Amino acid sequence: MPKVARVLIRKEMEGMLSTVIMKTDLAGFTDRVSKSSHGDLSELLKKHDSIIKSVIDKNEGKIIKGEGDSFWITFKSVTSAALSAIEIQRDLQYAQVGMADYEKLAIRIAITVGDILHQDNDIFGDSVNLTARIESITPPGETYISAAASLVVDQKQVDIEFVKKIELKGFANAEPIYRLNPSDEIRIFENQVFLGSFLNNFSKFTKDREEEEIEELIIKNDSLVKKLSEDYGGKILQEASCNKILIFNDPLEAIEGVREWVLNWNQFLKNVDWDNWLNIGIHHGNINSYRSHVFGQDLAMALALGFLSRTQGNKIKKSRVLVTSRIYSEIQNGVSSESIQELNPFELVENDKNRKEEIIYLQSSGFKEGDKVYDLLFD
Amino acid sequence: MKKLVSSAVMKLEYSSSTNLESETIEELDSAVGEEPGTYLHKKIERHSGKVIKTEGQCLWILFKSVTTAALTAIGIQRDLGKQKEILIRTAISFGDIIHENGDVHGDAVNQVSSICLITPFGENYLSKAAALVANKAELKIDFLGAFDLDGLNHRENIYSLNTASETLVIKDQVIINTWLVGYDEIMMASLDEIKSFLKEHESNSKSVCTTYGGTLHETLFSNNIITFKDSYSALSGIKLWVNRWTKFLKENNLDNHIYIGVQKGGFRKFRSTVYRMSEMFFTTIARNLNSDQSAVVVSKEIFDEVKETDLVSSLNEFDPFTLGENEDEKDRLRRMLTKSGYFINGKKAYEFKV
Repeated sequence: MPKVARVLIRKEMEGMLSTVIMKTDLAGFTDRVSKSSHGDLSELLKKHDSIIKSVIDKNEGKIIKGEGDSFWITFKSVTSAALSAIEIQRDLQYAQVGMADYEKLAIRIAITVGDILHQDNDIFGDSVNLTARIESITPPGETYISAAASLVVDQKQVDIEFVKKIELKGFANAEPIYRLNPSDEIRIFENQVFLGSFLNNFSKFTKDREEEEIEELIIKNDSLVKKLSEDYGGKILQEASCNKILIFNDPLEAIEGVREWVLNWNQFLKNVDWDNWLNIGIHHGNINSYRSHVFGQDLAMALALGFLSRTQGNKIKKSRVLVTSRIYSEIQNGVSSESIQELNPFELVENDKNRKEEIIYLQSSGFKEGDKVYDLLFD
Repeated sequence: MKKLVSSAVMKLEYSSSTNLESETIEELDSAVGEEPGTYLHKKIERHSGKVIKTEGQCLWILFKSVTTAALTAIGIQRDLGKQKEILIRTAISFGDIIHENGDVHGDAVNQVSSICLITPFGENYLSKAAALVANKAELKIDFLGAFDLDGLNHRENIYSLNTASETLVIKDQVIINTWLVGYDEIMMASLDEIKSFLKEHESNSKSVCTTYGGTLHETLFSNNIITFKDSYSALSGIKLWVNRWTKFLKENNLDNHIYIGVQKGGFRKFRSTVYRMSEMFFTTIARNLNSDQSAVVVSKEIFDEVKETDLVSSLNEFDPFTLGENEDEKDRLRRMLTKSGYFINGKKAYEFKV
């Protein structure tokens, strides 16, 4: 082999590195371009950009090239790429709670590992092509990984499952493809402020009202919660039938956000002359999440307070926010004392035939005789 | 300089579907069953709108936000959609306009007038500025294209408000509703125990849906709402589920029995909210049927659908009014069953022995 050729090959081999590659793509973006305004598109791309960059920074990923709705990223390990993918999908889900399906973004992610050439800040090689092919067949909202990546990934940290062998353009043999399942670990949110919210008379409302009015109620509540999430850093952990569980990092931010939510909601109810008051219980502690479930003793307290608030709702005919003594001690310097009322939770239980059961419920949720709760009198 | 105010302006035009000249605002009110002169004003006031002027069959209205203007337009279109006599079209723009002597002037006012002219009756169009300002979380806005408008020297991007209801109507399904005993207590156990419990519960519901064609609509704590197209598939799935769950409980020395009610019915779903669900009292009956093992109770309609199949031998008729561990429980259950109205014609419930 001539010397020049040997030097060129050596030089090329120096740039050849075993590399973990991730490709992300904003599903349906081309379709959105034709339907959305420039402002919408810019907001969409900003959200996409911020989620991906914050996750890969944390996991030591490096963006090789970004094309607006698509990124090529390299990682130091398949496991960190996989954990990043899980986090990106999850964060995107959180960021879009309350949005209609047609408004939601979905990202496809593909991960492979292989020896590729790094040259002029770009990457070349079979694995790069394979990544692009896999990404093109990945359903929106999912992450597919190559066979090689599936062998390398730490399966104690990441749950994967075989999808099928797929014929990919440019590859002689069908490639086995694997799906990355969302985290199988119980996630513990420590030292969080969380709230359970309920709407009064929602079931009756859905029986009596027109479909459009029910949609209006749900859309309004979702929209206010979305604003609360954006402005005060709240995240929705679970929602069903207009009831929501949200978490926040900071008690004062949470209370300020809830105040805005309640006041806007009251104004909305006043305009439309409906009686679906917001009832909210707030506590500070730890909360656990596993797949679609959230649980924990501290959460039980917040939900019990929301429930107590709801049982009273019809009597007092207004929205109500009850907080535990821990929250009260954390916020009392930030709110005026005239706007807080101290209450005995056991005295809030309705004096009817379900009283005994409700007291048992309060006790099993962690309340003891002598405990105090606080009513934040926002209006 | 005259005072400019950023404002959302709506031009609303109403007309008869048969004679475009004949209708009056009173006829529009009566078309939606309201007293003359009340409907439109009530609707506008509800969204804090203010009628600035009327010109023939047109109203000029100012709103505090584009979103409330759009919601008003959608509300009126939906109300009028129930009749065919009166039609309206609305155009909404947003811009800095002059408020003077009870009137409004400015580009946004001219723009809204021009947009209204190209808006078909029954539709609501928005200017580009209005579409950008509107809260997308509350509205669905479609881009229509760029149009040459009367009085404007440039092509204007026009958007349309999508007013279609997006509620999913689920009818005539076999609905199964599950409930686990002691769910709250087990959620206080060790994290490993909780994980194993939830994993098994989720894996069962998932495999029943995958194998027998069920659709999981809602999970809230231990409750799952799943629908199937036919009773045979639903009961076959439940059989698999209960057997697997019973084995899991035995292996882990747990007593969190599963209770399942099965009945025909439907519900509506909008975003994450399920509503107008047929009352799921068969799950409550199942809870009262057996306290020391899992139980499944099905309605007469479900029984009728599988009575010609091999599953019939596993179904036993019983009277739910005899259930209840003590007098209080019996009384509560009887009241619930009577209130449901389901059993008034001597209908019975059926236990599905798995």
